[in-house]
Amino acid sequence: MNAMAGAALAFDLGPRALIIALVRGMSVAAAFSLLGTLVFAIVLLPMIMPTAPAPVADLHHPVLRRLLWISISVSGSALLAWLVLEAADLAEAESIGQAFATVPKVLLVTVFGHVIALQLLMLAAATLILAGLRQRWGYILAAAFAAILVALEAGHTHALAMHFGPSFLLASQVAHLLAGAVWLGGLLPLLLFVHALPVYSGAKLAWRFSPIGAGCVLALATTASYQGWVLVGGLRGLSTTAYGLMALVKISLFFALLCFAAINRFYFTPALSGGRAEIAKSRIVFSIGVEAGLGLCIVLAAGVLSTLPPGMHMNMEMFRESVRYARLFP
Amino acid sequence: MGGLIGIFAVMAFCWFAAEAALAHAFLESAQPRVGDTVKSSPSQILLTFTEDVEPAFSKVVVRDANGARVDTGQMHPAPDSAKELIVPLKPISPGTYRVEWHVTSIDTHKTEGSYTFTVAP
Repeated sequence: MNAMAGAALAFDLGPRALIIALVRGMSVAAAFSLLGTLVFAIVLLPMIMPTAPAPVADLHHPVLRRLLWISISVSGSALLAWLVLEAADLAEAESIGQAFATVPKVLLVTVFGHVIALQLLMLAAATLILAGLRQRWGYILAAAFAAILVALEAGHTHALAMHFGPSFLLASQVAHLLAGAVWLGGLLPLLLFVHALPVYSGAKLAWRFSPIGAGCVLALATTASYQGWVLVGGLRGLSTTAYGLMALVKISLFFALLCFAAINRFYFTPALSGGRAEIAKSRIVFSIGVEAGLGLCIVLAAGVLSTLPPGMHMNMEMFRESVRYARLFP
Repeated sequence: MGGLIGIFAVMAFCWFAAEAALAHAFLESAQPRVGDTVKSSPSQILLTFTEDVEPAFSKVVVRDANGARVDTGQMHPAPDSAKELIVPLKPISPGTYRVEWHVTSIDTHKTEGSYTFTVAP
């Protein structure tokens, strides 16, 4: 008898599931932007303050504050939208009213609801701190709450479902998310400040961002490899399942992003100190913009990936090998 | 460039060395077992899944050969495991029964399946 007889994944990536995945991706992208911008403000801005004109490299620069508030607004809206959409999906709601009526139940009795509630709490804490405390340590405190907000995203992933409690896979997910937030979330403020600052200060900022980016890339590659090992289901899962193909899309985007980062680091950033600095500046601004756009695509792809069943389940032959026959059958 | 090659090498190694793991709530074990023939009528079905499930958004129905429900409709999680669901049954007579399960794992993914067992004293 076939171990999978009568068993199936009730999941399909129809329009509803795709919308949920994209909304989820937006919530992650906005949380990344919040944490990345805060880390940028705390770590990088003080490094260039002695050389940059004070009003430009200030923690209270309107561009920085605007970026923070936009990140908070999008993050909060996307988290709430995700909650309602997921409630509608869980209850198989046929009306908006039915979806909203299910929200309290989801918040109270499901792990998903508990994690979303905690994320909203962390976002509210970061918002209140940023609104009330404008000193550097206020930014540090807000960054701590933003980091917890990002780390909690791991509570929605396959890692927690596979093993409820601390695990190596869960730690890997948290490290992956935090590294992604610091690197990708830092690209937009980097773009805005390199554009706004004089060429010399912009060059210094780009140089200082490079080692942070390199460290994050290393962390992302290591954790992604481990997760690929556990979740994709081998090369067969990579090439024959929707999860594997989506993982390939994400990996391709990641390497495209790496190429742009390498061009910025080894070509445009040194050129900022050369004779045609203004041209180099416009090129690096464009290149960082492309990097940020690719980063957003990666996060949205990750949202879809988290919604898809992992490869080893879609590859039924492989799944059969993992089913414990002895306990299922007499 | 060396770093990039290193990253590629680590990724390639990991996927070549890949092994299967579970990340959706599938039926791991059942009492009565899948396809089993039992001598006495069970008073309940015990289903164990590969992951913790959300009982509030899961459903298990047990039907006889005529399609009539024989479970009491009072499914509940086991007191000591979020992976287990207990489905109390009405008194059932000899025959073949189908267990249909639709569960939501804690990462909100849905799975479903069914199996039969037979009561033959």
